[in-house]
Amino acid sequence: MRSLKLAEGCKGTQVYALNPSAPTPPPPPGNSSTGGGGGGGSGGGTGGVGDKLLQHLSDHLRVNSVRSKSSRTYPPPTQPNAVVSPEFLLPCGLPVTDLLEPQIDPCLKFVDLVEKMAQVYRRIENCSQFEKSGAYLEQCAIFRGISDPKLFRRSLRSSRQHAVDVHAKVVLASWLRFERREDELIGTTSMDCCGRNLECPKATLVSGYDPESVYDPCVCSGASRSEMMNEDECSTSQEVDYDMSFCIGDEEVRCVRYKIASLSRPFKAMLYGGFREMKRATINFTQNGISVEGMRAAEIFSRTNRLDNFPPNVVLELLKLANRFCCDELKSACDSHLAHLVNSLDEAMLLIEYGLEEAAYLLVAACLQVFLRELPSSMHNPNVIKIFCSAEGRERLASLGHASFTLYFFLSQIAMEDDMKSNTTVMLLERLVECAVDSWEKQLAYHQLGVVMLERKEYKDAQRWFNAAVEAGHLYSLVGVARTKFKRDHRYSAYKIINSLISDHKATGWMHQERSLYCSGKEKLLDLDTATEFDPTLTFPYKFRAVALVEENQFGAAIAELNKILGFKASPDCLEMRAWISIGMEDYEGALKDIRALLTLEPNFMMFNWKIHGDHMVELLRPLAQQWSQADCWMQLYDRWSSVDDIGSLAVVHHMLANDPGKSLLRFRQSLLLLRLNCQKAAMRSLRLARNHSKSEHERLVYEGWILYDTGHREEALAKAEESISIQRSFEAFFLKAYALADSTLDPDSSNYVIQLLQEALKCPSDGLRKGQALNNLGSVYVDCEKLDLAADCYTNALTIKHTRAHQGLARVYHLKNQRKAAYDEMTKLIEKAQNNASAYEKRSEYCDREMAQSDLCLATQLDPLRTYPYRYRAAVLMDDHKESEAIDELSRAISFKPDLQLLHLRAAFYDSMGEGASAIKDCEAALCIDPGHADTLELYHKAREPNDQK
Amino acid sequence: MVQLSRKATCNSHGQVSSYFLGWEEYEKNPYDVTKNPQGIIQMGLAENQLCFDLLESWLAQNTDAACFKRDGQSVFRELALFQDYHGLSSFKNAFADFMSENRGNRVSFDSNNLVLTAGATSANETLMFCLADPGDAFLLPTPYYPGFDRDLKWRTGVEIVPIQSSSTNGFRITKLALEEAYEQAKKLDLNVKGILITNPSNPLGTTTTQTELNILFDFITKNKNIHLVSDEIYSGTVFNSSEFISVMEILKNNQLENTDVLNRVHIVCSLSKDLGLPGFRVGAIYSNDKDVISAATKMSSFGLVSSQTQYLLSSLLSDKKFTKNYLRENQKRLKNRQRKLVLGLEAIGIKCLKSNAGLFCWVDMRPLLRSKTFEAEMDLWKKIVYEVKLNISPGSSCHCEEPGWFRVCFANMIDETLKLALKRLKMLVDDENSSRRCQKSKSERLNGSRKKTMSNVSNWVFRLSFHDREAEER
Repeated sequence: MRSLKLAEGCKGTQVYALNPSAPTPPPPPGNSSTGGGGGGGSGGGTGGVGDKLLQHLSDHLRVNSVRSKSSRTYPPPTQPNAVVSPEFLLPCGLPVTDLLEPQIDPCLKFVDLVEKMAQVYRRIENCSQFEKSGAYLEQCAIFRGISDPKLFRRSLRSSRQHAVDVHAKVVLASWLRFERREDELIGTTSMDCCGRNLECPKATLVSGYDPESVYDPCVCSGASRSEMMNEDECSTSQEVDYDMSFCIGDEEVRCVRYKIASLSRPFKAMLYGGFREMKRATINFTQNGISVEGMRAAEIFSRTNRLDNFPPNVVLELLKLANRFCCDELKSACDSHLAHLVNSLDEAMLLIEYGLEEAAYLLVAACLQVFLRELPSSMHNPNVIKIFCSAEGRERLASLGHASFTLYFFLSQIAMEDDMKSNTTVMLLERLVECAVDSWEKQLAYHQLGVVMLERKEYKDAQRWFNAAVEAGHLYSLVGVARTKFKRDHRYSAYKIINSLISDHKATGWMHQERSLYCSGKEKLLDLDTATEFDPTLTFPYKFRAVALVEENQFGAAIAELNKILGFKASPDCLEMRAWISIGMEDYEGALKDIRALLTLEPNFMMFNWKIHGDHMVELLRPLAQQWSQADCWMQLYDRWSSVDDIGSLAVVHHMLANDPGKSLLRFRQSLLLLRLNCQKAAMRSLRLARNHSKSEHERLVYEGWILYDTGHREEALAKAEESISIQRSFEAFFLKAYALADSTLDPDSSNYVIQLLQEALKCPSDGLRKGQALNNLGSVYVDCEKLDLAADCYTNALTIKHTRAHQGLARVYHLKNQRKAAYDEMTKLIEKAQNNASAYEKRSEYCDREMAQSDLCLATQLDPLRTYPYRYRAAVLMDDHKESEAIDELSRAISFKPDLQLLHLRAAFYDSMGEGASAIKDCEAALCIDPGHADTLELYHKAREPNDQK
Repeated sequence: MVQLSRKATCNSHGQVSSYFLGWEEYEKNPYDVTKNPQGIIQMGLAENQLCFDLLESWLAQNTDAACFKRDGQSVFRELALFQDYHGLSSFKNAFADFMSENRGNRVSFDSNNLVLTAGATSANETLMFCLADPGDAFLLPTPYYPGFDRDLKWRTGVEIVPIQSSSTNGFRITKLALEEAYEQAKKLDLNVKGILITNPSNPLGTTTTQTELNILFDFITKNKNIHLVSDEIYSGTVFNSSEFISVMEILKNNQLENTDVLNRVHIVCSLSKDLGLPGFRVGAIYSNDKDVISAATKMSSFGLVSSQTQYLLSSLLSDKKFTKNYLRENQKRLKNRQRKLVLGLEAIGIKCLKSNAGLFCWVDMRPLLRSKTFEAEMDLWKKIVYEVKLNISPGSSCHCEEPGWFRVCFANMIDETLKLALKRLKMLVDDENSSRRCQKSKSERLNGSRKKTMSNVSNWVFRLSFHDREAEER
């Protein structure tokens, strides 16, 4: 145990930590009932105040803790020789099982996901082109449920690609932009265009189905509207034969009769239809609410069909005139003209009112676009809220075709991310419900509303919405129904609901997890174990078992339980739990590491049941852990990086960033680690921060390049890399360029180019960690072009600078040289050195005989159940032994929690060979839902369907 | 670093050929029914392990022979000091008798014409040293034993000129091919000193026919300077001894014994294959040329058979009851085993060259080749070694002219192992067939003939792509 004199700590950072004048974490949004813990005091920095504050904090928290330990006291910080106790750091005490509860997923979730994916694939394939966009949106909702951001983005792109009307284009393009979180990039404005029609704010305002051109460069990127300027200036008034005039007040506006008449049928009727105006050369237009400027503009438009030179207020006037006199052409010209003028939130706010008033579709679309592209900040603008959230607002938008399920789907998503419990969220979801037509739309809207109501502890309403979702066909919402019943003390009723769910359907992990809440003792533990068996990615069972062990004082076992899942899933709540327990067992170093990693994933994480900000805990723990200088940190980072300890590395980077927050190099490292941990979202955030903090242009371009690469803009990424190199030759720029080029299969020429680029990179200054990676990648390009000796050199060099992962490449080289034993030994070395070694076990299995392979793969699955190769291998072995049903079971086991392309394809092939065509087709369809271009699956799909087609 | 001799550093010992590579691979991962059931099964080794029980029971009943004793009296000192390179006469007599017996007693052998050597390897090389100078050539019918490149060429400097053969006539020696080889050698400015055949053939497992022998004898009768070496180390493996014709029988039957041909015909024999005792290192040269015998005897100093071995084997071979029984039983067992392999292969659609001798079959795997090339043969061979896990010898290592033939040994294992080997081969064949069927059905589909093929695919493990390309790290 590390004991520390508190007095010492108090002199240093600890006082600072408790000092209320220090920046204290804000209270969690929407959590006002618990109040802002640390912020209660006022001024002063003495121990007495700190003491009081602490007391206040603990009293406050104790009230909120179910299991309050009344006898807990805090040693006054001024008292010498006091020892830091866990209680001091655990104002909420240790975690207790009673308070643990799994969150209900606010997404669509299915009992038979494969069937659902197959269905949506069929829908996309079979629907008419105008329905495709909507079908892809359903696919988005499904992919959101399996939390795969890449797949989600792809469907969203497809949905945008196939969008027909301006409204859908505007919403989907804005959503795509939001997914990239470009708003967080300093120096960009909401209307900046990324250069392709797909997201271009101007291209969205063009109506029509045009899926082919969405990936083309947009007009913003090319030559601007020069063609307009080339035209002759409009003919001067002298040459016009005016034959009449409109009189407004004292002013007269001279016109050409037939030109004005051609503006609309009412004008035509007025001027040629036998009314008295017909004969007059001068018509009084004073009472029609149009100004002289307006009328002049109308006259010019009547001759030229152009509005370019008029100020906006005049065009607005024209719009009104057009509405009044049914001038369709004039109206759409004004609409379009005004729409293109909308560029800022203020303009949009002003013009949307006119747009709605005058029913100007494009103008409203343009304003909407600005609001949406300003998200999430515009969500806090009361005027915007008013338009989006209120039922009247929706009706006004709907009257113009601007209220859609897509719009509210997007808005409610943001609102829920921002604050689940806010009124805004509820209102937007209500609008979503109003727009829901298809059954999947209803399911999603009702279910989300249920989840939000549950969060708000409005159980009765929650139950109602969950019930509605179930009726609409969303079985998963039964979990919500049960939970709300449980909350309302109908525990048995809850139990019964889930019980029958389990007996009526193919049981899933989440069903057993849910039932565990409503039973106790052995039954509960059994359910939890079954839940983990069915779905090892569910965090709650691990957390529960860990906390149960803590309650039995078995801290080590509790940590070990959490290690199981943290080994393959960097889940924030499990990191929190491990930190919590670590504090309990006085392993402050470990706790600090986990909290730092946790804050990297979620910077605003509230620990201890949403009571204390993570940053605050870091401040408290820091003095208790070893002190590192920045140089020590680099050493630590090097070590952890080398031992493939990603969470450990994240913690070190977090520590270093605290000392040097502006270091974009560190942010970049952070993004690399996060990607390894499969935390896309956090990785992108780190990249954005790296970009924002970059000190030089060439550095910034590299980070922008990576951001573009990660959002599927490979060409643009390459352009950024080239631009960066043209400013300054740097390791990272060459590396990015090589990486982006190498992402597809290379022909010999481009291989050589990639090799050259990596060699250039290696000539530029960088550190061992990065050079090791570059050498590693160079090695794999060499392997691909069968230059095994050169590859081996690269890997060996990488290993000498401690790039441990190079063992894997070296093993492959040995393997290709038919030196299996050496390959095996090489992988053994990696296994020994790496903290995360599931993939190493998996790779090693290729280099040994079947029996050893089986045991390596078994271990790989145990360490990381999300790796699919082990299941596929075992299933293939079973298949070869003619144990077909066992082989199918092996794959189904994994597919139930990881609907993976390879798994589905293999199962389809199995079914096909067993003559079970229908099952094969279904699996093919689900696989194609994930990757519609997967050649092997397509071939199998066509083959499997052939006999059916004949019948 | 001291420069070693050219001999030591040159590559012509042939040890780098795939024949030996397969062995290396085998040694890294040898099959064992309990310890390593997934290991490689050795089928590249022509060893006879089928009759150890007979030998062992003889040894158990005749303890004197193995214990340096004669009639209960120790002969240790006698044996310990014995080093006459002429060998133990008792042993040579017994050996000569055994050779006769082995050839159905149709010919007799004079033990004075016998030179003992440490195995057939040594016998062959010694003969080369006796008959040829460096740069001279010997004609060898293909395919031939891969070890000949080492045995005949390496130290002697003798060149081998292949006599081409083809599957169309069962790899028989033809007059044309023989003459072509001879012309080829002349073209290469090589002085042809002789022809060396293996009878029964390694790797074909067939005995040389009367016709072939006639061709050979006609040739050496016509060409006065040409020797004929007949390597007859597999003579004891002929399933039906009447089918085996030794060159000595031809000499006798064709009345060549009194011609100059007599002195130009030599036999190499050994007990390694006949008795399954390769470790005892007993080989011999039999020649009617006194000068050859004299020179070979002197050269045999470099590789004598130990007196202890000679003593033991003279007792064994003198036991006529035993040798008679042994030869009969051995032939029976080999025949059975060969049939098992041939039928097993037939069952999975693989044919063999019809054979009547040897410890191996010459297997036709041409249908499994992706193309008719030696590259395809190597690919298939690698697949068989690394994936199917059988060490067999590719035809190319035997200098076979046609890709797709493999030598598969069958006498160095128990029945169960053979069965397992066949099972593994079946998986390979099924796998190949199914992938072919897929291609075929695809083309059928293209041709519009839609026929549902209920594929009975197996070997899923092999079809798994090992290297799912994971995104490279950054």
